[in-house]
Amino acid sequence: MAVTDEQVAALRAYLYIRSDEEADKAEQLFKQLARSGAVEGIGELLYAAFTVAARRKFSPTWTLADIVRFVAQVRAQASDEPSLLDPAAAEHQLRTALGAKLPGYPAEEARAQTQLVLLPALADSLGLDQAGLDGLLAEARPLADQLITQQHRSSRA
Amino acid sequence: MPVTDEQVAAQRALLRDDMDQHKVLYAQLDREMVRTGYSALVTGAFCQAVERRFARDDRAEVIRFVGDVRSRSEALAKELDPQVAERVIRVVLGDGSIADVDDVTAVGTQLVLLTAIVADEQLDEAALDAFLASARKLADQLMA
Repeated sequence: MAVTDEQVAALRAYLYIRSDEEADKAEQLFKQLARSGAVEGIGELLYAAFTVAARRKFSPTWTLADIVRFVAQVRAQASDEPSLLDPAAAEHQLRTALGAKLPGYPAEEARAQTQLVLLPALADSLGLDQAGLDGLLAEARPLADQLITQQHRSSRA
Repeated sequence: MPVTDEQVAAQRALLRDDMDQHKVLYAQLDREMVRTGYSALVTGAFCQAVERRFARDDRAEVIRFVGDVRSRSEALAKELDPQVAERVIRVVLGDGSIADVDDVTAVGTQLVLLTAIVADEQLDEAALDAFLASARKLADQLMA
């Protein structure tokens, strides 16, 4: 089991939404994945891409203040949808991605929602164009494959 | 019972960032009066400060400001709940409610944010006196 080209294409489309048409295209790609039952692994790809993007944005040195300001900036840009991003969850996810050892939080579904909101914001802040997104996803894909393999091993053990 | 000169003096020291003086003056305040007059003074000053600092419908600026305050120290980042802080500001601007936030948390949050707003404004002595006089009047109205 590994990340598929279709999953990469769907996440890439989601990260490059610049118009209603591109939003529709991304939605269609995710619906196709759901219809074909090929969603297993997309969460790992999302997490890996989020981690790569967070490290590119904040490493090698970062402070809690950097994280707080970034999350506030993302939330301010979506201030008409205050429930879109829980700041505590967002800061926790970013710090964890950057290597901080923190207690598990929040629940898995909320983690994915947080990553889905933060990842495009990270990509924007990094100024990634289409080639840049391809590079990000190319770096994330083998990490996601490793995560999937580890999870299969641990579920069999 | 209206706000007292001693309560105003304690708050003035805090807003001037004279923590040694604030601690001395605050310790001398009557404990029961801290729960009523001093808290009302904090709320009165906070309402004034928020109305001066923020436009009514600018939620984004409220979010950015709370993020800025929390980024000023690791302790603030950990201890100041951003959503509570934003709500405490927005309710002054007529948006939402903090009925589910306990009084200690609400006043404590107001105090942190008030100190930050006043620090940003860099008020001189006369402006700080005028600000506190106005806050005192509002606090007296709140307690009437």
